[in-house]
Amino acid sequence: MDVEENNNNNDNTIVKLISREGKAFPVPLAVATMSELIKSMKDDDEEDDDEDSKPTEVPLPNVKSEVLEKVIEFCQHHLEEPMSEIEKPLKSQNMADVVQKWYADFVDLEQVLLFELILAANYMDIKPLLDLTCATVASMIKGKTPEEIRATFNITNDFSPEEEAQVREENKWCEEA
Amino acid sequence: MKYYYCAQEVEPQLGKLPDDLAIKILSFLDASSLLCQLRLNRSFHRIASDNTLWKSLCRHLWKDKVHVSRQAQALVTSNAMAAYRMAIEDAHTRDYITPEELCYDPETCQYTIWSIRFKEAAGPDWTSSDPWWNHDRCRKIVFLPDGRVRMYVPRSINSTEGNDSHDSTNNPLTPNNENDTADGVGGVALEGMEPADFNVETRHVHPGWELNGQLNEPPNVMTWRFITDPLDLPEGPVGSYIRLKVAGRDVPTYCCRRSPTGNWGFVMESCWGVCASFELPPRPRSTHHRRRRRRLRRAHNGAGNEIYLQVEVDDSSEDDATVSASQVGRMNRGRRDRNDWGGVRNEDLLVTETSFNVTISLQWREAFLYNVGEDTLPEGPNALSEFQRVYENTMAER
Repeated sequence: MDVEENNNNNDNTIVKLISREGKAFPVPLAVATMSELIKSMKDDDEEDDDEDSKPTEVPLPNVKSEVLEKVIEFCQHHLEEPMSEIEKPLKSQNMADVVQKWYADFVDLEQVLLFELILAANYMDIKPLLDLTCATVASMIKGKTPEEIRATFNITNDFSPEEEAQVREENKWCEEA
Repeated sequence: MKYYYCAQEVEPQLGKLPDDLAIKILSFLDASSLLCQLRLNRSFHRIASDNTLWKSLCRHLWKDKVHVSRQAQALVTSNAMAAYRMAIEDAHTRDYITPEELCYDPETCQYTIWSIRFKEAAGPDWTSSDPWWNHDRCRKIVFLPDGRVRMYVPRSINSTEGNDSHDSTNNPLTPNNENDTADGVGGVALEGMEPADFNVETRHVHPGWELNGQLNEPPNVMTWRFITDPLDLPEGPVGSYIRLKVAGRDVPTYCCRRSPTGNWGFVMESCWGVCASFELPPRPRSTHHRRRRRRLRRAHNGAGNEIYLQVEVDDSSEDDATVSASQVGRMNRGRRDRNDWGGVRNEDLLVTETSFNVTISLQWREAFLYNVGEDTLPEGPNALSEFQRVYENTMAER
């Protein structure tokens, strides 16, 4: 009984997260279970639990080592200093104005890595990380003209001239509120 | 529901995210940024039109607005972007009020509760007993659908004050009460409330108040009706003007418009009074608002009737100095010292006399007729000739 209790709640329990490249990242259970995906896997495990002594391995074939490292860094910090809720709509283009400094610095990343983090956070189901990364992309959109946004994110305009005129007309009212 | 990113080395980018993630990103954007997204390309046009995005923007925009077009509210579920747009257009273009927006429903205890106070132009006889002028909360009235007007005494939801305060909140509002001795209009009921609590919201509820405040008969019977073509002001659609009858006498027409404070509330004003469908900002204690005032002087016309004349006074005039002294004396008797209305945008709006539209010089004919004792104020196409008749008779009598 006692041993089982320990296994469930104790910080000493280590889980090994395995990246796509096969690299193992040993992390405390509390860090790993920030991911709802891992949490649900662990819950399933416990029903037919076998050997308690060996650390559980969690394969994450969709997450690259480089990305997984960032995810773990986020989860570890989140346990120490939980991220404040990000207000919608964003009131600033500057992430430091909407979330604690550590998190604003954390998402100061190359675009590719940022989007990989979004996908990983979505896959691993880590809500605060998904919020943070999505809000960061939104902050890069906020206040820019359509042309600037297309340039920033490499988006091709596939509107025909007629459609474009129509869309422009549709949005004439804008500007308010 | 999970999207795995294709291991086959396509670099993830904004344009290639699954829809739900793109929507998640866009959910952090304000309306004008979202409108920009519509213009990126076909795919973003579809994603940025998502109804849930616009629904939450509607919620955000409307949450502290006093009146949101009901048509727009009804449109939210089917087309929230159109609803958002419609609500803004309505708030910026419609200055007339609907009966639903004007009235309070005593059955359901819902809808609009009005703040009402005299303007300085009404003269000290009226302002001296007006709670607002004594730095208290504005008087509250409600318009009933059947044409009656009632004084409204709010009750506080906040019962932490204990049972003692309960009795006090039941005290009927007596229009000529002594504010310097009593706790004022709903004074106890409102004690301990934060200014922010008075930001009204969509459902016309003053947060922190129970809606079943007490409805009291005013000291003089008051009724209301819509009129469309008052004497001094241009004809407007139904809901542009309210005619109040107090103790059987028409008082100068109240003219309706949207509040200049941007809260989508309505303001109705006559040359002598102003009411608003939300809590009016309190009277400031500083004196810089007191310059360049117009003042009514009471005088007698030849027929022995009292009339009021509009005069301009400035702070240096001797006469005004005496008035000021008595006003200051009255001000000092007020109890509240805290000037903590940080939430109110632009404190001068709806506070200083110069921020009002309907002045004596605009509404002088109705004011004249009232002052010479006419019970009914004319309206419609013949209003002006009726006025001429009374005016000439009065002048002839002098």
